[in-house]
Amino acid sequence: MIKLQNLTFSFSGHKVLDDITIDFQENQVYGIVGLNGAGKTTFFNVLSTTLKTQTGTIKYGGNVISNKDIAYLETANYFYSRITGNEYLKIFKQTNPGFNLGSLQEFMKLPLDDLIETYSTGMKKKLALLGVLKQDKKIFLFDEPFNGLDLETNKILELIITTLKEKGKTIFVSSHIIDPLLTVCNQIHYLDKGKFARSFDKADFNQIEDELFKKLKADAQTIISHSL
Amino acid sequence: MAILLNIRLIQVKRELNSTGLGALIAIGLFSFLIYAAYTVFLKSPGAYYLTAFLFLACVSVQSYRNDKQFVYIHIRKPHFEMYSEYLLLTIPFSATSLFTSNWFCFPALAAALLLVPYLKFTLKQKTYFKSISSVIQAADFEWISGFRRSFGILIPLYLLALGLSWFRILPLLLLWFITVTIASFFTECEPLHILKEGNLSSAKLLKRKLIRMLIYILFMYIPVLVINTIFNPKYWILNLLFIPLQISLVSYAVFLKYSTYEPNKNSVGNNVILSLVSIGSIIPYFLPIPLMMAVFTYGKAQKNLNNYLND
Repeated sequence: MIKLQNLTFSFSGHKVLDDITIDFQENQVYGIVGLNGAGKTTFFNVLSTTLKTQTGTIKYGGNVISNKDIAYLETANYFYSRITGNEYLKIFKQTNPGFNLGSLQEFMKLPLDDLIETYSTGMKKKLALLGVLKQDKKIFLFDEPFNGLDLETNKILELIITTLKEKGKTIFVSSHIIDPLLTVCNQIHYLDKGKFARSFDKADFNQIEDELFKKLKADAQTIISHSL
Repeated sequence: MAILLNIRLIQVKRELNSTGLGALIAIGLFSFLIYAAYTVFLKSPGAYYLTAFLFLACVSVQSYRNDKQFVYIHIRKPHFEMYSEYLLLTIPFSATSLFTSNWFCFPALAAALLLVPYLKFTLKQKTYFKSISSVIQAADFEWISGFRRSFGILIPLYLLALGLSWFRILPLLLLWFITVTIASFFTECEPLHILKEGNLSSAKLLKRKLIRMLIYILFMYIPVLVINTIFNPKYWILNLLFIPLQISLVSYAVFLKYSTYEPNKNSVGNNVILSLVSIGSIIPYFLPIPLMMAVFTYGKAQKNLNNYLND
């Protein structure tokens, strides 16, 4: 179990995560949604230990969570200049025995012998994803993984997430597009102003659109009809 | 003040602040370089070569800089802004010519630099040495990246050093140029997930980087130095001392990178200090400087890395 207790994180005095206490069961897929600035990326950065916790604790299996447990696909993908896709992948030790680059390449179709600088945004995302999948970690964090990917790869990513779950992994996925989350997640959590304001189980997914966007749609409709 | 110059000033201030005592040494060595430029401007052919070198350096920066599109679209008077940058970059050196009989080099360079902002092409990157990771481990990505960036200088220099290895001193000078180029490999900071790969502690990571550096340098330099010693046995001590001097320079580059490490950052300020310390490494009185700087920076590198590597 992943236990977050009184987790608070601030930037320059502004609370981005505000006293979050929540438990996540293992071997589940969790969707994290929220508007821009809700704290999704900070949540992922703190959970992945990229940012150190300021107040509160994150425990995994009773111990303080460690980078060793986590594979993290960041929303913005950074690499190193003048290295090829192949060289980037070789940097990571293959700890996942099932990882088969040749087979995955049939779908990804990446020019692995070319410099990463020449890749498109979607290709960079795919490459970063391959780097993450090469590692056998217990927890996978995917921050906006569907951004920049073509329709085909979006579907492949959904399958990858489902397969990781079948292999016993715990997965956190954030997205601005709700549809893929409805397919892959067991639970979706709505992050608002640094707090988990609402959680939806699979059975309640049909209420998400209504509950989260009903007021927004009504307000927006009024504003837009008066503005355009 | 020009917008770009203002940004550069802020960047330089930030970099100097982050280098602490190193900034003083940097300023000292920078002053020495200016003096060296003055001495070159005193004599005619040298003055012309230096003027041409300064101009070509600016052309090179212009053809590779990746903010060109941004500057042309978003900055008012982009040509003037870029020109101001190149002028300011070269003035500390070119202005010394005003105190010599070759004073006209200063206005000549200033006029020639007017053309540089109009060079709008960007050199496309081709993938050279696709199989290099079979020779250099992928984990040594700084070496792979650096070699691809600088092979046009490194290979001719090395072949020259090897081909002229029976000469006195000259091969050492050529190898020193190679060391300086290698030191420049360590100014780009890798993303955090690459840094954390292998879950190494800061001490182990730095040790690993040093061992790999040692292997590559010894592999490249020993053949040249052995041949040189055979032909010039009187210089065996110089050849023997040469390797630790080069290693301390590259070690300093590694430690400097990690002492100022921030994920994905390109430490431009480090480049300046590195080149100055590099020059110090061939001036007799300054020879211990790279070693002293390496020792001084190691603790800072370890401390800074602990912020990222300790869960």
